[in-house]
Amino acid sequence: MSLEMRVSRSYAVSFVVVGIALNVIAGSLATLTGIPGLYLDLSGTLLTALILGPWWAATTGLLTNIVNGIIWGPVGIPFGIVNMAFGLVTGYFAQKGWTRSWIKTAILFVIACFVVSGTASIIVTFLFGGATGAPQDIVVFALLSSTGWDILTSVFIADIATKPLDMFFEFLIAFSVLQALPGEFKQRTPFYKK
Amino acid sequence: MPWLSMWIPKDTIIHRANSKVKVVWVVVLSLIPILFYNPIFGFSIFLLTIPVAIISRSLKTYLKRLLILTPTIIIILIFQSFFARYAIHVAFTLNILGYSIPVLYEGLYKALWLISIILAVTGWFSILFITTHPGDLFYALRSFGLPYTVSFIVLSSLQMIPMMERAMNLVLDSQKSRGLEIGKNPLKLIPVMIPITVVALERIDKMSWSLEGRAFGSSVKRTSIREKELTLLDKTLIILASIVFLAVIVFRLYFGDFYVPYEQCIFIQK
Repeated sequence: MSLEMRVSRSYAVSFVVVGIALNVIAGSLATLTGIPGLYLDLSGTLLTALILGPWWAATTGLLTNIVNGIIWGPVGIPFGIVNMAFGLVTGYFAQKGWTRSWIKTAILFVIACFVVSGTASIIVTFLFGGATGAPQDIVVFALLSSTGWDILTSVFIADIATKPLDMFFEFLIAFSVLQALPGEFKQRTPFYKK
Repeated sequence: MPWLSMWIPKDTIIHRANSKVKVVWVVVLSLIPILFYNPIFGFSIFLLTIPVAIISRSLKTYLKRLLILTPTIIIILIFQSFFARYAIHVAFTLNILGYSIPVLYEGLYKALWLISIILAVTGWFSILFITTHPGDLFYALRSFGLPYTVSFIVLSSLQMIPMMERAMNLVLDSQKSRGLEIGKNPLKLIPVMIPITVVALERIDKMSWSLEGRAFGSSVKRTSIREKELTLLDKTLIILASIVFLAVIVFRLYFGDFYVPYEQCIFIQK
């Protein structure tokens, strides 16, 4: 029996609502640290992926940016595709049981970094001409002026160089939260642990 | 329950306008600059937002929202004008600290085009979000085919975030009273995130029971408290938006994308 059949639709919808709120809350908590490049705005999507699978996680990811767009302004809405791709990939591999082994989780971490950086670079380059207004633009500027690479390559390299820090804490927070959950909630995390 | 959104309640003609009409016009006006490879279209459509912001008595809020874009606009100009590999012509040369830096024409042109689109799209959507209650906005989107579940998730999230923020502040204060200092250490966020998530998971249970109790997912046609009949003027405005959009497409097909190549640009001394 698939997980989607075991979890009621209303439970999944409620989880997505909370997943979006967690993304926003974790994002504002990240600003408390003041570390450039640390966003933590995928934590809710990752939790949804580990608990409900790829489709609900993708929904959480996409709608997070729409919600953020309504709150802060529409500029970030296109980056919902990045969040959605992250949810799809992590949810798919979690469904396949990859998050039950540390080695496979580490591989998933690398895959997730490439997926997020790849999709983000395409959006940044073609929709925003290579600029995000984030601190990593300085790295892009340095690469452009010193290497002769084109904007897409420079944006991708700058993003993939800074992404592992953010992604590490996204994974660490999501897995620590799952590990520390009371038993009644752990029963509902089938992809994480059988 | 409080809503977290850009919406500012005011009694103006723009605020009172039917949300379906606003959605249709915002989409049409946002699509027009994308159809032409010429920044004049985007900048002109962006400038139209200013009188609308004034009429809706939201100019200050609106300009504050746009100011966020300043770093992005500057960086787009730098990246495209100085580093566009596809560019072949030098528009002019800048002298900065004794260095001569060539500004590439095709890069500068593309930068202005992208900036005009970003300003036009962000401007019009900001006006929409500032002057439309999220409930009305998603009621309009549902009537254009957006699934009810998506609308429900977004609207519930906008209400859930302030509640979760209160929970976050409570947890932060409690952990600080126990000696937790977050500082620049992201690991210190874990003792904050765990209680927030547990609180959130408890909310999920309550929410899903309440949804079940209210027949969520039922296929019966829903009514909405935000339902508004389209007046004759609303219908006329929607038809007008469709005519404008079709006319622009025909104009684009007939006259091309209005790209100005280096040789034809009158603003540059060759």
